[in-house]
Order: sequence, then C-alpha cells, then structure tokens
Amino acid sequence: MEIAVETHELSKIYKTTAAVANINLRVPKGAVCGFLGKNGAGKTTTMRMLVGLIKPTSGGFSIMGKNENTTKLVGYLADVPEFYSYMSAVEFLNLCGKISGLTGPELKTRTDELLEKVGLKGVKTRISGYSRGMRQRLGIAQAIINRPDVVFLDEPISALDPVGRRDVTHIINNLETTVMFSTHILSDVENICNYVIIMDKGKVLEQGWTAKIKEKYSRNAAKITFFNPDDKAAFLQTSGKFNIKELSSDPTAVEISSTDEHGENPENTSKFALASLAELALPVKNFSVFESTLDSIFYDLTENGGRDND
Amino acid sequence: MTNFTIFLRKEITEIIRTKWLLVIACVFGGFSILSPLTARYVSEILSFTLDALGEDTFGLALPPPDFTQSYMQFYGDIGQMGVIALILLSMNVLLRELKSGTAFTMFMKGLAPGAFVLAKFTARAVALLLILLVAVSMVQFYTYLLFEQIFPFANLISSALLVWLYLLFILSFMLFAGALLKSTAIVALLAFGLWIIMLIIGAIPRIGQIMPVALSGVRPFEVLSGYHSEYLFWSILVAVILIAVLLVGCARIVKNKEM
Repeated sequence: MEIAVETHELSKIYKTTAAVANINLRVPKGAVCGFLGKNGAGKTTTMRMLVGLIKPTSGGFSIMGKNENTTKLVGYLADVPEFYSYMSAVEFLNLCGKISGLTGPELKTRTDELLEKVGLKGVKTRISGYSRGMRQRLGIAQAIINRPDVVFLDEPISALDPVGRRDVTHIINNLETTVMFSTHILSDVENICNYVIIMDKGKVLEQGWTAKIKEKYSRNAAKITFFNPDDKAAFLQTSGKFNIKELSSDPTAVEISSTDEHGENPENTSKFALASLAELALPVKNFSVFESTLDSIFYDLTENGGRDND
Repeated sequence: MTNFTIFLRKEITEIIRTKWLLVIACVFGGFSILSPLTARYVSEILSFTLDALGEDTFGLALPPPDFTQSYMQFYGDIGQMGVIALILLSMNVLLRELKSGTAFTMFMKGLAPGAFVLAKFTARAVALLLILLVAVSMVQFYTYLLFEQIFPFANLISSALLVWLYLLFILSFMLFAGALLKSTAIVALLAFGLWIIMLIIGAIPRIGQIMPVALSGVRPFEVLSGYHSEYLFWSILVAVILIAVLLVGCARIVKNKEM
C-alpha cells in the first residue's frame, strides 16, 4: 500500500500548549480521508504543518515519500478562503495556473475543465460578489489546478447551507486524488470518506479505513423493547446465553449481546435473541441491532476516551 | 526570479482596479494644479482679504509672487500630503495578503517570496514615477501660464526623480513593516513615526543632508535651480542602499514567516 501522507512524531507547541503532540499519521494514496476532531483538537494545525504554512516544533512528515520541497505536491483550501476579490474566477484560476507553470492551450483547457467541475463556468461576476459556497468551490479549483498528489481541505463544508454542502461533497468525491479534509459533519464523512482519522487534544485517537474502524467498534448488541416489564422479566429468566445490560432510561427495554460460544457478531446476537423470543412467545414492541456509525465512534472516542472493549 | 512578470501583471491590475492608482494620481494631480495657483495668487488673496477686513498689516510687505514658489509649494505638498497619502494607501498592501492567505496560495503554486515583494514594489514604483512625471509637467505648464517663467525641463525631471526616490524609500519601508508586523494600524503608526523621525534627523547638520528626507526638501530644489550640492551623491546612495536593505529584509521575513 503506497502512503501519500505520513507523519513521524509530529508536534507543534505554542509556548506551553501542545496543539499537536507527537502524532503519527498514515494516509494511503488515493484515499478520501475524513479528518475529524472537536474544535481545538489540532486538525487545522496539523494541516497547516503538512502544507508548509507553519513549521513543526519537532518531528517530521513526508508527502508521497518526500521530506523536502513538498509544497508543490499539495493543494490547500483554507477554512476561510480568501481570493483577489477584484478578479473573476477565470482570472484567478489563470493566475494560479500561470504561476504553477501552465501556459497557452494547456492553461485554457485546465481552467475550463475546473470551472466546469466546480460549477462556475460562465460566471462573469467578480469574486467579491460570490457566496460562501461559490468561494469554497473556487478554492477547491485553485487547490487542484496544478494536479497535486494530495489535496488538503480545511472545513470545506462546515459553514455551507445544505445545497452548498451537497455540491461541495460531490466535488470532493470526484477529485480523483488523495484528499484529506477536516469537518464536523460526520454524516458527510460517512458518505464520502473511505479513510478516517480522529484527533482529540492534539493526539490521534484512531485512524484507518472507515469500514475497518466501524467493524472494530461494532457493538455486537441488540436492543429489545417489550410491551411491559413482566415480559422483560420473563425473557431475562431464560437469557443465560446473553450478556445483559439493563437500560435505566426504559424499564421495558434491555440491551443484549451474545456470549463467546455463539460468536461475537451482531448476526448471531440477532439470530439467537429472536429464537429465544419465539420460544417464549413474548410479544416485542421493538427489536433493533446496534450498528456502529462514525457518530457513535467519534463520541465514544472523544467523550468517553474510548470503549471498554477498545 | 520565479514568476516575477506574471505577478507584476497581477499587481498592475490590482492597483488599477482597487483605485490605488486613481487616488494617488488625484492627490498628486491636485497638488500639481493647486501649487502654481497658490504661489501666484495667495499673496494677492491675503492682501485683498486684509484690506477688505480693514485689518492693519503692521507694515508687513508681502513678497511679490515668484515662479520658484510654484515648484517649492508642489514639492513641499508632495513631501507632506503626498507621503501621508502613500502611507495610508500602502499600509495594507503586503499585510493583507499575508494575513488572508492569498500570498501563501501563490507561494504554494511556485511564486518566490522575493518575486512577490519585488512585484508589489515595482508596480507601485512605476506608477509613482509616471504620476510624478505627469504631475511635474503640469506644474511646469501652469507655472508658465501664470508666471511666464520656468526652470529648464531637464532640471525639473532630475528633481522629480529625487522626490521619486524618497517616495520609494517610504514605500519600501511600508512593505518591510507589513512583513514584520501583524496589524495594519501598527504598520501605519510605525510609518508615521519613521516619517517624523526622518524630519527631525533632516534638521541635523551633515547627517540630515544625506538622509532620504533631504530628497523631498532641499535637494530637489537645488537640482531644479541647477545647483549640485556635495551631498547629492551621498543622499542618493543612502536612499538606494536603504531601499535595497528594506526590500531584501522584507523578502526574507516573508520567506520565513509562519502564516
């Protein structure tokens, strides 16, 4: 597996505060990586170090295996992107393209292609009149004009309305390069990211392929809600093959998980629980299998410091 | 220098579209018309006003209008109001790009920090030169109209170049301060502080004669009237060295700056 971004004990300390503390990241080439964390977790500081905006206090990083002169390998969109407001999108992209070394027909083709991609083709107004969503889209276009190996997007969707979010996530999903983007909107990460990094208090709590992380944190459990507490009690008397967790919020509900002998997976839990209920002929109001989402994983990791089974 | 000409074109577009050029042109152009008029009519207006008010002039005789006052007035105004306008219009030129991140976007694409600073300086330096040349030509024209007496045009151009050099010193200081500091207000305050200090130093014998501030006061008028002071070479040399040091320092700070 080729690695696009890798850090080695990367740290940034401001006076006495460690914004980023000895982190080791690995983002595979081609991944669309969601970079998650609460405000102040260290996401922006990490990104700014990786694009060369600020210098690490200690540690290092590599982009596509290179440790030096990595700036031209990356594209970057800041959380609040600023442009030359007196220019139009075409003029701004032409400037970025020319400075990147594009000339003549190649520059024109690339500019047209990007304007089409971000939905700004034919927009003749100056950037000063752009909405926030249009600015984000233009920012993405400038970030990829020189076909960088890795694109860093700092909160590209957080401040957008639903339509803007949909448009920008669609663009991110079709960038066809390694993307690392930070956000608070976990549902969007779940939809478009195949790789996830979760940070808190300057440290990396978890990183890996989204599917594997979800599998790792799957809860192998089901929740059963009965019509009355007596039915629940009847079920509990014969439920020795399950681990039981009482739910204080609802006296008619119970959370169960299967024990080792039945294999630790939600399918088994579901199968054996339903068999027991059928055997006892107990009416059930609701039966649901817990499914791990990035939301639940994120909150567990950042608020509870991880689960017991981590 | 990587991508200098591309970024220079962007800077020229910027000074036109953001009205930087227009405002400076209006300030300089305004003084180029007002200075000859003031020189020609102010004594008459003053006498007329005092007469009309019946005020006693205490025997003070106002000097008759002289064509040389037209030039002195213009250079005096540019050395004060022109500098103030330049400071106010340039205090944000570099800092805005560093703070907003547009500079970094350009650096990521391959623009050298040195080219970034030099393009900003060059675009404004060329604009100032053109505006100043047009302005002194207007002073020459109006002075001839009002006094029918003028200094030789070659002297006029030479003296304008000295004032231009002084303005470039102010401009390079503005860029340097913009790279060094984080607040536009502090950049402006520092520039005004420097200007006042320069005026004070200018009053010191010998040292004041070779400082850039001399290029906005006594030196241009000497050149205009055909007199070449022994300090002329040194004041030009000191200004050129200071401009170079400020620009190189500015580029170095920008290169090493965390944004």
